[in-house]
Formats: sequence, structure tokens, C-alpha cells
Amino acid sequence: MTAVNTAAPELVRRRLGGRLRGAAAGGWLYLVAAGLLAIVVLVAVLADVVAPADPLAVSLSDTLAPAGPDHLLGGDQSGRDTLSRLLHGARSSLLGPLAVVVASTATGILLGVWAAWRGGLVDWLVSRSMELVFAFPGLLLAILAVALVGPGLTAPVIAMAIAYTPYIARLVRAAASQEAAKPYIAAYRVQGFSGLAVNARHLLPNIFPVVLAQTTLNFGYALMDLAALSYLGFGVQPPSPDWGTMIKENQAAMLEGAFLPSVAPGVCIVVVVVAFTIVGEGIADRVARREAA
Amino acid sequence: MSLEAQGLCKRFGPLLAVDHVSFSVADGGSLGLVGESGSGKTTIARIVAGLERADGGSVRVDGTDRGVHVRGRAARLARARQVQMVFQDPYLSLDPRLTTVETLTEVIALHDGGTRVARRERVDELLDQVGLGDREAAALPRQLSGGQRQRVAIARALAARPRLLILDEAVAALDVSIQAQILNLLADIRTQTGIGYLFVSHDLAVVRYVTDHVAVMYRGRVVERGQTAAVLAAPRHPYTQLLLASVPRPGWDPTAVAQARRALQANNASEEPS
Amino acid sequence: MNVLEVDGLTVVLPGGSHRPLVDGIALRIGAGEVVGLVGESGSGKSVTARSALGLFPARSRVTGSVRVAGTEVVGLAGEALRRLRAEQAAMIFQDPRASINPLRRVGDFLTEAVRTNRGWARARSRDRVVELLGEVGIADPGAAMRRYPHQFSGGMLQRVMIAAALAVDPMLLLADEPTTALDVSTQAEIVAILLRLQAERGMGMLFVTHDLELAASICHRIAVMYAGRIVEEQPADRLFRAPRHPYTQGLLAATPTLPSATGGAVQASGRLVPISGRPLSLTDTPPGCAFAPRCPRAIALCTATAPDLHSSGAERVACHRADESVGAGG
Repeated sequence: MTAVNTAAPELVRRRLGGRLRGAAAGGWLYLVAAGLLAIVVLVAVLADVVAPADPLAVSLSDTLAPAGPDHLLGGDQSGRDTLSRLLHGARSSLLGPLAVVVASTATGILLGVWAAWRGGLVDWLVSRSMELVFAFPGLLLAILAVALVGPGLTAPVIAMAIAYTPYIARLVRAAASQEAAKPYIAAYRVQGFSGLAVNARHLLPNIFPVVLAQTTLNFGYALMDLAALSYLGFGVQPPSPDWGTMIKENQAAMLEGAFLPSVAPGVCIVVVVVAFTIVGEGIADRVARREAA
Repeated sequence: MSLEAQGLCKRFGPLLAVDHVSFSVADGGSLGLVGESGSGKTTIARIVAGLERADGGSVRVDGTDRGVHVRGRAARLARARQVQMVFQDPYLSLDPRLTTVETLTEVIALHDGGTRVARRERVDELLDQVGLGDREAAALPRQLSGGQRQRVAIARALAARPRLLILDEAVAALDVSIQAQILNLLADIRTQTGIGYLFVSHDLAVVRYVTDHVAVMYRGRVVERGQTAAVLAAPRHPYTQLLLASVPRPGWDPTAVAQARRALQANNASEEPS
Repeated sequence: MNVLEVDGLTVVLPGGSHRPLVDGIALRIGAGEVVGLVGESGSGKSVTARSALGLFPARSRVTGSVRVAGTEVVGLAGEALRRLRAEQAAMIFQDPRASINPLRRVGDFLTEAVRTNRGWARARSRDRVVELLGEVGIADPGAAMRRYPHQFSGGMLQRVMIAAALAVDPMLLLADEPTTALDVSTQAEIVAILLRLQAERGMGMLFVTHDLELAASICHRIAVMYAGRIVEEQPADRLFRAPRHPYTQGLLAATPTLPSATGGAVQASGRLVPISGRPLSLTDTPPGCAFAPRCPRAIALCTATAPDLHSSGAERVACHRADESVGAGG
């Protein structure tokens, strides 16, 4: 008679998440945030079409131009159109975290399920190595990678993917152990299904919603981390448009009273990260309510 | 097909959960494995089902050992067709995302293959066998009552056409009026198909309705065995006598039962100092 | 004097489309009396028992009256409710492990119960706890108090919970399936302790259970519930020998019995007689008798109007056909 622990596995959250949890449960905020993210993704995909100007076109006469009909959000240090750079910058700002999240979620699921299913030594090894990676700050790992490989998105994305893997692996391991203890999983094993089939067709789909919640939260965190790296000069290199890079390029202009070129990408980062957190918490909340029902 | 378990042992840490237990179920027979929590009965069920490995002893089906680790699809399926299992908790024993038809179809596809039409026919046959209608066929587990879920679980176990069904406290979580329906269903299925049962339960009264033979377990050992009717009518071991006396009925004296239980425990403690 | 008087108790969950959790419950328990409340899951037996402590489901609408030793419980709040739970009524639940803080020593848990309810000093409270543990048959109370809940077996922990319930010297003890989670032989011990303490202290006891045989063997009087209503109430021995409501008859016929037991409807074939169909869910709201869809004796009247609970002498039954000669039940 195995007691089945029915408490939902705890997600890994940064401070931001805790404050937004109550709000995300409301419902309408979740829809607004999801809608906003859909728009941001659409804009990133269609940047070539919707951007009013070439994001790389330098025009010294428009240097730090104020917002107006020609430049809706003004021009930057080199007279490039801020709005167009923001729209194009959405691409690298989203693609980086997307790569991080896809790679870390896939690896995390594999490791987590493997540890939960096999138990014993495999479980011990996976758990300890995840703790080891977890102990390293992701940003530090990324800076180290850049130092070894050189600047650009590739090194930080790989480093961050490794750093985010324990978030998923630990969650999946907990959720999968709980699920594997349920008799329906035992029933499928007795039925003659292979371990792979039971995991892929029954166990994973049933724990997927909680993994999705963590993945969504991770997307926001990864976006913030990669923007910070770009800001520090380790990530996307100028003149390519990127939100983090844009803040860095234009922060000096703030002294001259031109706030838009650096504040606008900052606002974009905050809004998108908050939106991801709200959606992630919203999914987690739905999972919790489903389990309680 | 006959099942023969010999000298089964299983240790969890310092606890010897199953201590040299032997029993057999004849082809189409029905054996009750009765005991209280911690008696080792569920561990035995899990060993026979292949969910747990015994530390010692063997489980043989028609002379071939079930204990060896199987590899490969054919061996797995052959094993599954020997023994299937129904679990206690109807709320956790079905995949919550799958409808009744989907649950059954998946198992049929694995064991029978066949065309879509053939699979659907087999699904209908199974639903009919366990007394479920169209509404239940299309429903998800959460839309079904406990009794209906247990019918689905029985149908799923029968889908592999096993020769032996392990029922691990399969009616313990059900309300009395539903429990009677399931007990009668189990009796009917055995008459119709000639399947054998290993019926694990804490409830002697329930065992009476579905088994021919019974083995009473106490602290990992079988303390008494025989024909169910004979054991219930004239129990010989003090523990079996205590179990029978514990079942409430008019004129029942709980104080006397409590005394008998303490006497048995004291007796046991003096026998094997731990 | 009655320690519990329930009249017309109706509890409705918010949201409209449900039938009431309990509907027009009327129940009396005298001092020193053991009354069984029997029903299957979802029948409303636990809701009824909890109402005596003022424990109603969140946001539910409660009408009717529940008096414990003369105190009206419906609408009671704050200090008055706390005093009711501290002085007059106590409850024992099905799962002792879920109702005790696993991180605190059993002794601290019990001493606190005595101290907060009585306002006694620590030393005096401890003495009382030792006494209580002795009363529930725990051999070495001093050692037991130093242990944590996980170091107790289910049966031993249920004894601790009984001791905690008795710490307040209640006039009314509510036992909600107190032995369901325990082994059968342990069940006998717990029942024996409960009955002894109830008799010694002259408490009224409401024994909630799904097990009709258990209720019949320990209670003076039994009320049977189905779909939120009491359908029948009789002295225990009479209910067992001559049930009047078709549901009670069906329940007895469906209960597996041992060969030595008498009175059950065991047929020669060794088959049980199940009740067909399934229990009413909360969203089913038939106009007539809730049991009519499963009842072998239902007539047109049964599906049209719900029968009232008619009393005659010591028995009450809610069935349109209760007065006809009983031909069912085998």
C-alpha cells in the first residue's frame, strides 16, 4: 500500500513570481498577458513588414530626433529609427530565450523522467549533478562561456540552456515520481507496454501542464538574463538591434534628455517578462485547480 | 493455466514483508489472500504481477518462471497475457486524459492488432461484458462514478485475455450497494470465461463471495489455508478466529475481540523476541 | 435531556443547480444514547455530523436549527462557537493522521488542547493528559507523550485523538467514520474504548458510518441517509431485523456477511443482491423520491413527489409504500 503524495510539485520562482501569483489567478490578467505575448511574437515574425524603416539605416541628421511623424519613437545616437530597431530587436530578444527554453526543457524532461523511472543510482547521479549546476549562477556561467568562445548569442544561449536545465529536471523528477506511483502507470506496465511507451504516452502528457508552467516562467527569466548579457556587451553585438544592446547604446543619450531610445527597450523587456510570468503563473494555477477538482 | 508461487520472500529494509509464502491457483480457480495491512498480501500481488521482484522463491505459470526479467516485445506481451491486475483505487487506476474507449482500444491494439473495425468490436464486447453503456464508453474517468471506473479497470484487464486476474482490494473503496454489483460481475465473468482469480482483501465476508480457496496471512506468513467455506465455518488458527470475530454483527462484543487481539499479540511477542 | 436536537437542517452549496447537501434533517440524541447515522458516500451524513460543531461547507446557505445541549449552533460565531467546541461537543475524524500536526509531540498537542480549553496551568494540564491517555488504553502515557505522530500506528493515533476529544469533557461526541481507515481487529478495540468511555461519562454519541452492520451492533438507534435526507430511523435491532425503507432493505441485502451471521439476505447461490443503478450525484435533482430510480418497488407516485418522513412510535420512514405489506427483501 503505497501512499501517493498528491501535493503538486513546487515550481522554481524568482521574487517577481510570488507577487504576481494572486493576480494571475484572476483570469482576465492572464488573457491580457497571453494576448500581449501573441502580439509581440507576431511583430517579431513580421518585423520586415511592419517596421517603418530599416533598423540599420544610419542618418546623422536624425540623431536623437524627438518623437514625431517621421520617427514615432524618435531616433537614436546614430539617427536610426528607434521603433524599427525595437520591432526587429524583438527577434533576437525572443529567439535567444526560445532556444534556451527549448533546449533546457527537452534535456530537463529527459533527465527528470529517466531519474524518476529508473530510481536508485541513476536518480542519485542525476539529482546530485542537477544540484551542482543549480549552485552556479546562470549569468556567471554565460560570461565564462563568452570568455572561452567569444561574444555572440551562441555561447550564452548554450550556457543558459545548461543553467536552466535543473529547473525543469528537478520539477519533472518530482512530478514523474508522483505520477509513476499511481496505479494506472502500474496497470500499463502489467499490460505489457514498454517503459518508453508508458512514459511517452501516459506519464509525460499527464505531467506536461506543470512543466509548461515552469517553461513559461523560464522564458521570462531567460529573456531577462540574455538582455542583461547583451547590455553588458557579452551577447548580441552592435549594430544588430537587440533590446539589451539598445539600452546600453543609448544610455549616454539620457544625459542629453533623449530618454526614448534607451527607456523604450527597457519598458519592452519589463512588460514581456511580466507577461511571461503572469501566463506561467496562470498555467500553474490552472494545474493546481485541476488537481484539486 | 495454473499459477504456483513457491517460497516467496521479500524484505523492505529490516522488515521481512513476505516470509516464505507458497500458494497455488488452479486453472480457473479462485484463491483469496486475506490479511490486514502489513500482512504482506499486497506485496505478493505485486510480485505475481511483475511490479516487484522477490528476494527469493519463484512464481511459475504452467511451469515457466515469471520471475526472470523479460526483454523484448513478444516476451512482455506473453507475460501480460498470463496475469493482469485490478487495483484498489478506482480514481487513480485510469489515465485521466483518456476516455473509456480510448483506454480499451490502446490495450487491444497492443495485444490483438487488427483492423479498426475489429478493435471496435472487441471494445463493445468488453463494455458489454462489464455492463457499461454508450455514455460511459465516451466518458473520461472524472465523468464516471467509482463503480463505473472499476468496471473500466476490469475491462482493461480483460482486454489482454489473461488467464489469471489479480484483484488487489478491488472492491474495498466502493460503496456497499456498488460493491455488491462488482462482486456479482466478477463471479459472472469467472463463470463465463473460466479465468482464474487471485483475490487480495482484508475482508473475509467479501472473500466468501468470489473465492473457492483462501489463504490467511499474518505478518508475512500464511497461517491458515483451505476451502473458503471450511475456513470460515471452522477457523483453526487463532488469528483467523480473531479476524472472524472482528467482523461486526448483532450481538457483537468488541471488548472480547480487543482482549483476544491483545492475547494473540502477547503470545506472538513471546514466541519471537524482536 | 437531549444533547443534540436537529430540526429542518438544510445546507445548500452556492451555485444553484445542485440539490441540497442535506435536506430537512431532523435528529435527536439523548444523554447516554448512541445514535448511528448510516449512509453511502455523498449521502450527507458527515455534513450532518459536522453541523453540530458549526462546521459548515464554505459559503453554503444553512437553514433550520441545530441545538447542542440547548445552544443554537446555526449562526453561532466567534467566542460563542469556540466555547461550544471547547465545552460541549467534540469530534473524532476518519483519518487521525490528517487531523494532527505531524511536527509536534503528541504530549504537547494534548496538553495544549487541555490548556486552551480549560485555562489550566501546564503541570495540571499534563496530569490530566496522562490520565486521559490511560483512559484510552495507552500503556505508558509518559513515554507516549514524548513521541511524534508518525511513531504511532493508526489505531494508537486514533486513541490519542479520542483522548484529545475527551479533554474538553464533551456532552456530545461526534464520531465520523472513526474506524474506517483501521484494520478490522483494530476497529474492535477503538469501538470498545469509545463505547466504554461513552457509557462511563454518560455522553451522547453520534456514530457516523457507511457500515450498517457495525452501526447495528453498537448503536441504540440508527438513522439511514440517502441523497441528503433521512429515509428511515428505527431502534437498531428492529432496523436490522425489519427494515422498512427499500433502500435500507437493499443495503442489507447487498452487504456481504459471514456464514454464522443471521438476518442478512444471503441466498442459496451465494450471490449478493445488489441495488441497481448508482447513487445520485449532487447535480441530479429529481422531483420525486431520490431512491425511486433504483427502487424495485417504485410506482408512479414515487417519481412525482418526494415522500415525507412519517413517524409512528419509535420509528420514522420516508416511503410512499412503507405501510403496504412488505414483500421485498427476500
